Amino acid sequence: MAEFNAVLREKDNINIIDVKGFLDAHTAPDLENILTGLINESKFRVVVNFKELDYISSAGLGVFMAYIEQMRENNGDIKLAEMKTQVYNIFDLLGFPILYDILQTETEALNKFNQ
Amino acid sequence: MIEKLLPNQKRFKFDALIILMAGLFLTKIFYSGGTDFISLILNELIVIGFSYFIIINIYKAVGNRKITPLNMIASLIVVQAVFLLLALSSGIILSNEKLVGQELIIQPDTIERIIISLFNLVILVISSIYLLSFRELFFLKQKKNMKAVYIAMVVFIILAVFTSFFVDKKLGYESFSFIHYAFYVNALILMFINSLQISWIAFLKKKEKRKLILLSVLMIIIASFSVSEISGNSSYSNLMSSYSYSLYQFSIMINIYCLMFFGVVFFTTLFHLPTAEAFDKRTKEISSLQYLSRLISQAQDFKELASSISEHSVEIAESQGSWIIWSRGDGVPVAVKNAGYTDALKITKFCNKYLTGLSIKTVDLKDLYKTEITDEKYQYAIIAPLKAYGKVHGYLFNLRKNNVEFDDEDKAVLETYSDYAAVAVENSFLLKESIEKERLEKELDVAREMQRKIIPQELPSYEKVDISAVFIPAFEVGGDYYDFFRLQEDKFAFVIADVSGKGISAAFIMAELRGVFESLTKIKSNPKEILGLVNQSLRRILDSKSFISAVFGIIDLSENKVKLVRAGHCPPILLTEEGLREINPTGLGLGMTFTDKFCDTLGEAEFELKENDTLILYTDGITEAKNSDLKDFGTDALINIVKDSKGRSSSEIANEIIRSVTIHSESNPQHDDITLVVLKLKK
Repeated sequence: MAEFNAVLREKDNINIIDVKGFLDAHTAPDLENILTGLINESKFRVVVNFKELDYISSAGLGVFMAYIEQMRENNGDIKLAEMKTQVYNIFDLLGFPILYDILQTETEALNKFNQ
Repeated sequence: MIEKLLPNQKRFKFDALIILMAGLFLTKIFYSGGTDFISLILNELIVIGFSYFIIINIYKAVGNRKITPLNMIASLIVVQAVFLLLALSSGIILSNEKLVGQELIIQPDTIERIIISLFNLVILVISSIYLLSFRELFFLKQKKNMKAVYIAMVVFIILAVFTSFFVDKKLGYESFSFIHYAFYVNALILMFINSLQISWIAFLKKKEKRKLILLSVLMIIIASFSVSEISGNSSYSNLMSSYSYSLYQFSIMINIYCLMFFGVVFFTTLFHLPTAEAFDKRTKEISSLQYLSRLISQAQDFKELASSISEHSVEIAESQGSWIIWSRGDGVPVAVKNAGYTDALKITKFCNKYLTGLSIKTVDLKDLYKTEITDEKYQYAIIAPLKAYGKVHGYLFNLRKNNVEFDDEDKAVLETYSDYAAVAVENSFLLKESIEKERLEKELDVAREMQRKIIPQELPSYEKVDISAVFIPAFEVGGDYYDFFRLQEDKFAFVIADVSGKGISAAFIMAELRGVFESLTKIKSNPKEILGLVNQSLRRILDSKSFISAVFGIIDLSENKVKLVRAGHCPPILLTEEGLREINPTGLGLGMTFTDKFCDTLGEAEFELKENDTLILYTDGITEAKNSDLKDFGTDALINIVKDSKGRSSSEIANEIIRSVTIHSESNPQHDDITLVVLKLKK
């Protein structure tokens, strides 16, 4: 079975989640747990680094939809960065770039918070 | 009344008993015997004979009940007290003159005979109850085969009883009295041996043992009084021996047996008392393990199971509080017994670093109170992992308030206990899983059925359009949906959609979606407007994680025009004489936002559909169909097939696409619904 892994780190007071592998209905709860944890600790500024993510299903997309809304309600956001083309295409197809910030690099994403 | 309630067989025994007693009573009223040898023997034989059958019948009538030794002894004390009272009152029964001069052989009148007979009967019944009770107490939990010794004792008692008249000096058979004494001594020895064989005392709880000591002291006191009252020359001995020497002797011997028996009980219990606690503990352990083995074999509600595990651990660990933390849970104590929930929370948090590994751990809680205040002050905690097949399901907490640390023995006991408990837990998990699986399968059946009914059973037929559709549901029901709505004579709408999520919830959303499209297409004719309204109407049923991708379009066959909107869905492919292109107007998925942004960003494609032009609508079940290396089928592969399909009918194109997808995914199971709709304008 395809593996998924999410690791949390922090940089300039912003939490960065590195996601890796396959994000689908079975692995989405792992990511949700991390995001719920951040909300419980009132950490609303998050960057997700997609560098090593190979696939995202609609269940994975749903996670971002729900949590970005929650972060935004608390004046925060989740910026998405460093997506592979095939992953970006899935986000793009649904129109994610219209609603959410998807950036080329992690640095750009971090800077976006400071604008 | 009572007799009616008794089962027939028991009633029969009562009847026999009453007949026998009446028989003895009447016989003795009319026959008092003489002093010659033959009459004496005859009298004794009659009494012994009747007594024997009376005892047998009493046994049959009341025997074989479940008894507890303590209750039986308590009732024996009452019987013994009654006996003592009777013995003391025997002087009143016979008028004093008859007793003056101890040599006198009583010549009672009829009324006195009746009284004497009744008195003797009562004594007989009392003595029988004794004998039978001792029998029960003797055989209770008896492991060794002691029947022979017991029978020997009874035989010697009968012999000693039968020969007792030899002793009476008045009768002049004194020279034979050695025979009686020989039997008597033998009977006493056997009584003593039997008294030593009691094996149930060790099984009593400490409390019960204390009670037993008190009872046996009480019994010894009353029995001593009785023995001193009835032996020797007393009104009792006169009263009894005038009736039958045997019965008199029998009542004495029973009393002596009673003294011996309770003397032995008293000392045995006294010696057992110091070890009673250890014995109690072992008993508890064994019974709780038995209890757990029963739990293992039963299908159990998970909560109940946790509750019983926790509750029983308090007993075997001799703790003052217990609870369980599940590994899969969120670290919150469950099944909290004898402790406050907030205390349990605090202590669990304090012990958090011990919640790891496979070994049992003891924790001194004194550091806890430096930072926390709890309702109850617990001194020590012992944490046993609930492990089965190398997997830790959780941890069982036990706490002590007193200053007694958990020792190695406690550890060993709890370890065994928690191992058993874990197996029960594992079983319950497995059971729950299989029930859950079955439930899910049922649910999927319902969802599949719903989807099958929502999706059109047959395709609409239009003179000018050749339509084909293929729908292959995934095992889990992926949420794909397509439909057609006739608007006017030469105008119809089509929709293809993919609801995120699976199973029954996706099927419900699908049903809603169909209803919304169906009604909106009747009142509106602008695709952009319709999709905007659809999005609004979904607000109520879509949760924050769900969305729907869709393509909706209207074909006007009078002008051969198509207006099409796309909400985050795979762009349809249009194949014309000039070539192939993807129709890709902008548009967010339905349910991604309910603000104006949805409509503001929604683009509309309008194009002409000429003869032989083909429009292909599909869901990502096609492009994301994976092979065993998890490689997608891909949009490019789809486009390549379509490119080469000029001149083919809609069904030929559909078949070719499905064939390629099937070849690509081969043995890899299908994870999402596959939907394909091909529209081709006829010549």
